[in-house]
Order: sequence, then C-alpha cells, then structure tokens
Amino acid sequence: MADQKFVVVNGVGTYVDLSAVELAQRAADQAAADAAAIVTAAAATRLQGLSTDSEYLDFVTQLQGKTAAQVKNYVQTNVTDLTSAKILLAKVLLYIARTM
Amino acid sequence: VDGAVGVTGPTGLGATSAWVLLATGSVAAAATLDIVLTSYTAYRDILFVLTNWIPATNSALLNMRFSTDGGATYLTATSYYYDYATIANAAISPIDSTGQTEIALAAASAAAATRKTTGEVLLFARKTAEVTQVTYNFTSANALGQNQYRIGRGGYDVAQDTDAARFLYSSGNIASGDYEILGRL
Repeated sequence: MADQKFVVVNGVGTYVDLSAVELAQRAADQAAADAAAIVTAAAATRLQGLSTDSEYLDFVTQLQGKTAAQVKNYVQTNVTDLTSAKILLAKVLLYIARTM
Repeated sequence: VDGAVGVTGPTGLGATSAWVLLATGSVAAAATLDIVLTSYTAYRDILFVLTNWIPATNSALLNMRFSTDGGATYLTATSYYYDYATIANAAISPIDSTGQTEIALAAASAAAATRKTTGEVLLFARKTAEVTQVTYNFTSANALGQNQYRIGRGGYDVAQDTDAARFLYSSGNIASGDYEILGRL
C-alpha cells in the first residue's frame, strides 16, 4: 500500500496517497530527523564516556576544592600552546554541559 | 471559561464566544493528518484537540505545519518559530527556536499503546492576513515511560491567511489517534 495521508475536508476524513512532492518532503524530513538523532546520540555517548574518562575526572578534581594557586598551576601546566588552550576550553564546556 | 463542551484551551481567558464542535474523527496508519479549514471561515479561532495519539516510530516528535492554499501544499520554509517548556522528571526545560521548518508540539513519544500523547493546539485569528500564531499543550510519555508535559507557543513568521493545518511525526507514520476540531466566532 502506498504511503497515505488522512485529509479532513468539510469535516469528512479521507485517506489519500502522498504525491511525489510530498514523498520527497517526507524523505527530507526523515533525513533531518535522522541527522538530529545522530547528533543527540553522539552527545549522549560522549557525556556517558566522560564518567570514566580519567583525564576529564582529573580536570574536574582540579577545579573542585582547590585553591586559586592550584587552579592557576593546573592551567599553566596544561596550557602551553593554542591547541592545548582549545582542549582546556573544550573541557570547560563539557564540564558545564555535564553539570547542567 | 470558554463554556461549550468543557474546553478550557491553552488560553481560555478572553473568550469572545463559546466553542462549537466542527468535526471529530480518528486517523490510523497515515503519514499526516491534514485538516482543511476553508469551510470554517466564519470562525476566528480554531482549536484542535488531539487525543490518544501514538507514533509508528519510537521517540518520534509530533509537529505541525500550515497551508495557505487549502491544503494543496504545506509550508516548509524556515519561517516557523516556537518557544516551549517541557516539564519532566521534576525539571522544566525551556526552548526558544526560530528558523524552523515546522512547529514542535510534543516531546519524544513512545510507540506504545500504553503511552499515548494527548493535547490541544489553539490557532488564533486566522480570518485576516496576519502572522499565524498558535499556543499548545501536550502530555506524552517517552520510550522509558517517563511522563512529559509541554506547553508552548509558535507560529509562521509571514502575514498570511492560514486555511489548513497538518499534523505529522518527525519520523514515520501516525499509528493511531483521535481528533476534534472546534471553532470560536
């Protein structure tokens, strides 16, 4: 059976086959939904993995219950160039996302 | 309070007249539910009551689109917007979204007969060429059985005469569901 829609006109409902345009739109909608699901699943997996990520746990430990000097030392030790700065900022973002 | 048939609606205050039941029915195994409103031009506001809806695909999202040609085509441009808050697990999660291709009505719904989605959409002032606006509220349950309640507002950011509405899931068919259409002068 072809894909159908249920159309209510003047209060009366009828099943009608989807047109070629509607089938194409439906495929586009499905592709968008699939893409959104992949992003959501990837983010969920990433967050799930963080709970056992030793590097992430060390980062959180450094931020929690430390003195300003220790935090400064942690940053100075781990930020040596642009790449390491970006990595640390990414960790901060993930930390915020995980604790929201 | 709006009076007729016990309808409260998302924005029951300020009603100008009682609601009139225009049509009622059921839909099953269909890609969309399209409701053509050209025969209801006398009614300024339209209330869609959707009860016991189930998607064919697990975790599908219930969405809405508008038409300005009596349902021949439905608008899919990125001119839809919506704001909503979903209440679940003792937390409220707000969303503010623009540039969308549809209005997101209900949270991810389980494809299970025991976890149905029920709610209503109030379409305002469609007798004149204005930005089409709706308010809505839906209760649903996700695949984990967690209950969710969503209340929101949305629209299509173009002045137009909206004369048909389409309800569809983000993925797959409407497995089953009932609908009522009410009008208010």
